[in-house]
Amino acid sequence: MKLGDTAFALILTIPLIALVLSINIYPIAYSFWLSLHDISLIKNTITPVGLQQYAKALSDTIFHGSVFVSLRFVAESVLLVVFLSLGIALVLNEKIRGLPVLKVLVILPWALSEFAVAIAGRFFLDRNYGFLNALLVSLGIVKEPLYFLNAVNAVDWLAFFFAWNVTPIGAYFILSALQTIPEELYKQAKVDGASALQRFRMVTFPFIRYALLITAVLATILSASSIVLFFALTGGGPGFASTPTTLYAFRVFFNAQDFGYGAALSWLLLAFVITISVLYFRLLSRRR
Amino acid sequence: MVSVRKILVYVAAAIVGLYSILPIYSLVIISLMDVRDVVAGNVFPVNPNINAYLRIFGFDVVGPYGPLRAYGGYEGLMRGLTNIMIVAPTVMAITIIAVVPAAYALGRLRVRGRSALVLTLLASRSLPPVSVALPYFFLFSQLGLRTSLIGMIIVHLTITIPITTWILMGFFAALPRDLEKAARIDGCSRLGAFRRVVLPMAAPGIAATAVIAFLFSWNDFFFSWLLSQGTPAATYNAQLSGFFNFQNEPAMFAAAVTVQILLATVVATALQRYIVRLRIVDPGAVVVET
Repeated sequence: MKLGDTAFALILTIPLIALVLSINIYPIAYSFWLSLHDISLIKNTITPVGLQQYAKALSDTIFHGSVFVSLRFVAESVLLVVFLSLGIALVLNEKIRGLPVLKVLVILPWALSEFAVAIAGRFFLDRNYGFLNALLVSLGIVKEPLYFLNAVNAVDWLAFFFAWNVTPIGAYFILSALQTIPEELYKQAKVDGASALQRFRMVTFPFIRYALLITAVLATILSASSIVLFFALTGGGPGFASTPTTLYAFRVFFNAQDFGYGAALSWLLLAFVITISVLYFRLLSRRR
Repeated sequence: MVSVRKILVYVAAAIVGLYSILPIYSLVIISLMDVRDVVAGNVFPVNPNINAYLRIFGFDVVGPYGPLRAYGGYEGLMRGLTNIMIVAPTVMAITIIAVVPAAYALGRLRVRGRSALVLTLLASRSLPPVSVALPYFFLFSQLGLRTSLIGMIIVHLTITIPITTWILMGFFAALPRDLEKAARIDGCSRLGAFRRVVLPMAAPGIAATAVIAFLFSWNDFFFSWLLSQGTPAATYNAQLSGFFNFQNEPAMFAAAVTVQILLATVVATALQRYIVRLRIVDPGAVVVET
């Protein structure tokens, strides 16, 4: 019997999709069912409440704060990831001595788990034994160690360490795009008298646009889902100053054990991530 | 003019190098410091020692101010290390066995509905972990999978399979087609052509995705901690959360985390040569093609 290509491909692919979906559909459906109920562990009751849990989110000021933290974190992370990746890729694209060593150094932060990144962040920023404070004090820039993870700046530092972790992959995406640019185009542009900025805009940018976009997509989706970094670096504090929606939903689930409300919050988050992903896929498929 | 540009490039390269290494450096030096360095606020260990490493591996040591006991949770930590050393290679092996044929089919054959298949796989990957956390917790408790390594392996596979399929698909698609065609014309079966021609060409890409699958599993904290913490199946990362109660022992915490990142960084350094060759798939192109 001779199989067509499509049938052959389906035989090889369907089992994987079945596995991944079976382990994902149940949790998603179950958490939606939870979000329509009020579950009390003390009274041991499950009461259907319709959309009340979602209505509760509308008037929950801590939830509002967490949405603001999430949006700020995602925006800062994406900007940092895109610009740092581009900068690093441009450096790696130069013909410099020690390039192989630099390439290895650049990939290192990507190899760290989100947890290890958070702990490295702690040891970098800690007031008592952090490296940054030790350096600033020993150089005489500050007299007393600074408290970096304060209510105002904690989110900025979280975004910085998120970007530190994700940047290598973005830099490598952009680098591989940079290396497809023919040398002659630059020479031609120079002959035509284009400035460095013009050369970047007219020659470089069209070649790396797709890689930049993919980097932004990855950074958005990953940063919107990020939770371990917050949990392990700041614990969401001080107060709720660095608690994003992911961590707040988790705390409502597991610390407050308000399963219905936690599920509703996680569904709002899911809706947000799906909306962003769909918008990006639209953008990616139109831009060709 | 040229030399000014050259200097700027080297300055930028130095900044990039420092940026990449400093947070790791600040973690590693703490693991090598004793209490005198920490109090003095040194930027490098003046009295370097491996006491912290010895203590997390269960040895009593003599510090500058008298004897120091081994880390109380060292047995759990060692069991966690054993567990993840079973889980991560298993996840890597199953991922490759499952993903290579599928990625070959999606990347190289004319498949109708390819974009739908790829998007289904990728969509499940972009679920925020917290959205599936509680249902996973209940499901795995009911099935008794929290206490077994099999549960952890299944969860990790749902993370590694979509992402590695996507990456490897692009790698297969980018390989030249002439040799495979020639092999088919010379009478090779589809399987024969795959084994003799495509597989050797794809070896570096497969090696790279294998390492990526390994790292995902090795580095997973959220699901390991959520599902296996406090059970015999707890992985190394899950056991690390025990150090949150040891805030006054930064050296041991730093040493334990350094052990975790050591293997990851060695693996990534080895992988680095291949990663540039892994072309990302253009989902837009996939959508247009079908």
